[in-house]
Amino acid sequence: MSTHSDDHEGLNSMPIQLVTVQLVAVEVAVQSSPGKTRTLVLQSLQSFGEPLRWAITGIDRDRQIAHVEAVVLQDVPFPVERVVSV
Amino acid sequence: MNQPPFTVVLIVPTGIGAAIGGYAGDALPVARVLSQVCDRLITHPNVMNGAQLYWPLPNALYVEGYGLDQFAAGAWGLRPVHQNPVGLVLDAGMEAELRLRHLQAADATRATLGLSLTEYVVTDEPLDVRLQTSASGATWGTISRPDSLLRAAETLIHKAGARAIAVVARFPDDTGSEALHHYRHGQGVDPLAGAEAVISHLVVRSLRIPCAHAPALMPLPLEPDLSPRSAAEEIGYTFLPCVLVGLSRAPQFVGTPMAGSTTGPSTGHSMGHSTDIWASQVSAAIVPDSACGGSAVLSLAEAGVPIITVTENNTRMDSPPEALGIFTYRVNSYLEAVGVVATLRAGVGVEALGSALAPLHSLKHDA
Repeated sequence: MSTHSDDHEGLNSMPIQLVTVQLVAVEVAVQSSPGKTRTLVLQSLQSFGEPLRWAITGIDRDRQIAHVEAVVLQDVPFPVERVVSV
Repeated sequence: MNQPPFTVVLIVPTGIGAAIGGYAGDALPVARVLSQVCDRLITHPNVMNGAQLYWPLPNALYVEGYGLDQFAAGAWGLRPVHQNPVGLVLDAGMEAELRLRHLQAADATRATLGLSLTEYVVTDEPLDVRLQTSASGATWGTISRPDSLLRAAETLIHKAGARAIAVVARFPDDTGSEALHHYRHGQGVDPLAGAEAVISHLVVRSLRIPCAHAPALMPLPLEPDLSPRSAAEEIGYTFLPCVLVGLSRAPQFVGTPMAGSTTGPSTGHSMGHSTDIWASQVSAAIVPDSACGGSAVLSLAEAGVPIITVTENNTRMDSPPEALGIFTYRVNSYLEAVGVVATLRAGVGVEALGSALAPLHSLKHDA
């Protein structure tokens, strides 16, 4: 196994969408059920890109607001410098 | 006796400073015990991976976090396998010596454990891993060339027949930061974990194939006061063996190609196997009490799966179940959680094991 390496030169034309990975933070209102809160988080993150990994990291009990941190995928022209913001 | 298999999901999210499971595979003892009181245990690499150390559990399913989220949402099913040929992706940003160390580790798992590996691929660009810590204290990360990672993984799938992907990315060396110091002493948050999860999530999301990641790093200077919880990562040159072992029997993901997140087993999988496992078959889930704000927990709670939360396993998160409308069995320790699982499996009301059992009350009819 270790004596051969598959050559994947020339596969740049493969149908893989070029993406960047970005860290974002959003706030959403806590809903009446966990499933509804999950749906709202996903909807909120869609405006930044496709959610790859996310979590509600904290909850403001008084305001009923969930703080969400996420890594999202964004389609971009190639090549591009990745932009990171929190 | 014809009861369905009692299936438990154990979640200890990575990169959030979990007191148990936030270091070098230190939730593995929990998984070992839980596997003895259930028929099937579904858990993820952060629980099972101890760098050079691992403990294969015959009834455990090794499911990467993105796949676990999709499974919990009912979008993907799990199909157990006897063996996966594992393809290895090596970051072009890795030095020649580190690359050789990882290839030798991979060959060792073939010779000594009998794992099946395909040929390997080096990415066509350095992946350029960047580490970040967010406002919450969780660690995250990004890579500059996700396209290169995905091209390499696709090559392994289509040219080498890989059914699982192990990724080794060159991570930034850190020999003196405060975060590393805390981590080596069994405190703080794993500085690498968040970026590792992003890498494997990207492959699983894009190619729907089991994937796990091992970071490539230069060895650290000897630390006399190393915490036992962190020690598994300092006994060898690579973190790769546990990843290859886990992936070698990781379940495949099933579902309709390009299915939406709401697609379930009734509409999403026309050629199901009798061994396929769906979220509707989960009997209980266990998660740190402060970390109920992940996708999988929210999905399982919504579906009515009993959730057991463990308060002793502190994390940097502040997402307790009641703040999210989740009813749970709240216990202090994993020892108690094991007891709750055994109680549920036995069909015994948990309250019957306590000294205070209130009498039944009459409900009023709806007006």
